[in-house]
Amino acid sequence: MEEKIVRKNGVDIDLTKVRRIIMRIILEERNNVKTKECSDSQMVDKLQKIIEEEAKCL
Amino acid sequence: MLIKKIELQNFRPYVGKQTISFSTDEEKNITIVMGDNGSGKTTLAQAFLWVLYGDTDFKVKELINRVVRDEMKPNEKKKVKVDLYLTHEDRDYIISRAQTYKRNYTTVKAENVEFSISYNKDGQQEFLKPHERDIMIKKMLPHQLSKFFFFDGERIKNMSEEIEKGKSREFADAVRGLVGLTAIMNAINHLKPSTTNSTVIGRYNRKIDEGGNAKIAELSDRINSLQQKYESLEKRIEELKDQIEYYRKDSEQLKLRIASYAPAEKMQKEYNKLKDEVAKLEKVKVDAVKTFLNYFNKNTPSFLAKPLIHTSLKDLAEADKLDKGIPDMHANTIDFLIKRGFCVCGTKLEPGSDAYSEICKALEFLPPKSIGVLINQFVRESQDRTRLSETYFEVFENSFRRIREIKDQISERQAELTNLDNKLLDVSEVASLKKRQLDSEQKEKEFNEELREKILALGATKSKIESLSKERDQLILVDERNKEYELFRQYAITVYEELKNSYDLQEEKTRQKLEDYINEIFTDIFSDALSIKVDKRYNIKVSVKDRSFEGNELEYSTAQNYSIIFAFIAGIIKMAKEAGKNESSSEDDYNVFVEAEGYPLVMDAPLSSFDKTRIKNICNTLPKIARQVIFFIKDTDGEVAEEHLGDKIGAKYLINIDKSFLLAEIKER
Repeated sequence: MEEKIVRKNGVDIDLTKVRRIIMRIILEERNNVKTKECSDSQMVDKLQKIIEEEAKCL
Repeated sequence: MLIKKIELQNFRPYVGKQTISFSTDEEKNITIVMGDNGSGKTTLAQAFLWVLYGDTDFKVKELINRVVRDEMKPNEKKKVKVDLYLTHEDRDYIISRAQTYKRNYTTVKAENVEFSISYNKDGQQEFLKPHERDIMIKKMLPHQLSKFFFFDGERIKNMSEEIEKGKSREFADAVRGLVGLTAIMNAINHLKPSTTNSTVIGRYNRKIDEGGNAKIAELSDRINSLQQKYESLEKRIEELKDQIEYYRKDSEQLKLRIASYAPAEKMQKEYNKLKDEVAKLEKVKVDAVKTFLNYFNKNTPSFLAKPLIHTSLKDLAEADKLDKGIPDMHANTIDFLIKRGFCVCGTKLEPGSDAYSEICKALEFLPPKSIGVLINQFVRESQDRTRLSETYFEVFENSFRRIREIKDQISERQAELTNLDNKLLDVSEVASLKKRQLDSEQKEKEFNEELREKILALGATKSKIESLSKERDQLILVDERNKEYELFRQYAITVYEELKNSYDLQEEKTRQKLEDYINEIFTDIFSDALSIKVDKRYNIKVSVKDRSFEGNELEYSTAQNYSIIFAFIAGIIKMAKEAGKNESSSEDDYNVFVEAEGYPLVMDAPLSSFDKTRIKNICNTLPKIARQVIFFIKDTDGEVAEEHLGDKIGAKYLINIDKSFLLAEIKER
């Protein structure tokens, strides 16, 4: 990830944020693999929340 | 995963409740369960499979102890039960399976099966819901891999075939799961592009559509429908690749088998040629016998009469009357001449004349009054017969020899035919193999053609989706409400793409690492002369390292097969054990996130095919790799294993069996 910002479909994507999102998502998934506490639908909720938090973060 | 304890109740020879507590000590991680042949070691190993997957390899599926069954009263019920206590990902579980049997006067029938998985949460025993149990078992130890972790020495041949080829997609998925790629796999599935609310990107797609712009909605519908087409094409392409691979391998194997029968065609030609020759010789023999018999019938009497004829001719030659007769003259001829009055020479024949007297004298030597003429005729015929019989023996001998020669030639060819017949029995399936091979080639060709079509269609669909998406995305950005969703959607797409790339890279690395581990372990256990490759489906390919062996067919000994399987299982276990310890090695490497833990290895009769050196190698290698090793072993192997494992053994049990009643008892040693 050499470029920090890439433009996709008229939207700026910050690759540092992308990496942070990935880390949080994988940690969440890894935790759920262990606990099996969340269903697929609940996991989708959680992942969506992570993306929105990070994308909105200045 | 660590197995802490197994409890058996009325399970096959184990009457009442019997327990084995396995060693969970990290240093002394080996449990040895010893017993004579037929003492119930395999049954014990099968108990693991039954409690986890509800199935066993027993031919007779009845599980209840025979003594318990025979003592049941009418309408009485008894339970067969196995409880497995284990730790998985820092949580203690009890997996329980019970089968109830009921006696109906003469018969005992199996009734319902109860299955549960429970764990302790804040002092309370929580039970998993039915749909969660399968997921949990799959996570703990997928059924596809169970036969490797619950290793049965007697099924080595099937395992070694399976390990080399024909493993399912589920098997590959199971391996990926065990070596720690499940979290990334799940994340990709939760994010992926979709038309429904079941994924993150799918949800943003729907939210944007709900913005109310009719044009966007229309474009979305078209994109969705193309997306579905794209997914179904992708799925079909994967299926086709599987099919092509299957038929390619099948065709290759059939070709090899057919090639091994190549001399058969030549043999078949030779066989047909010999059969023709035998038929011709049989005909020649029939003709020769016929000629011989004709000659025998015709000439044998003369030949046999030859001494008699010879004697007769000798006697007749000495008789003086024999020469006085006129050949072919009869008394009637003389009577005719006398009556006519003159002879054939013109002399008058008048009674009293000399000519008359002379001709009347001739009547004495002519038939019917004389036998001289008859004797003369007999002599001539006898001389003819004698002359012919002079060559009789020679002709007889030659004809007989000819018949014998023909018979010998037929016998020789028939012996060759019998020999070829036996060889051809083995190759009689060549024709069906050829047909199968051609069918496989045809299928491969058809699937390849379809694959090309589908790949082209996939490319075209992708382009169309991209072009429509671009158009749609531009419209979205005009709408303020959609702008934000589009931002999230683009982040989700970027994350999804990153993870997908990372997963592919990670999987490739994982497979390579697994291959390295398998080779290291195989070298430690068996030899460094062979090299083991792991393909994308986690199939194993063994080749000879030494180039001078190239072209020679690789031979598999039992010990070598065992070692390959040991190396494969140990390699996976090592990967699983180490995956959790890995740290991220580069910015784009998400290895830090993979989850993993140690796995047990339960082995039934694992050492019986090895020599002492290799037993030592295995005893040194396996305990270091597996988190926990459980050996079910016969007493003689057990002594050797104990000698090499020594301080690694954490628990020892002995199975005693009363063979008259088939009752087994487990005792700690």
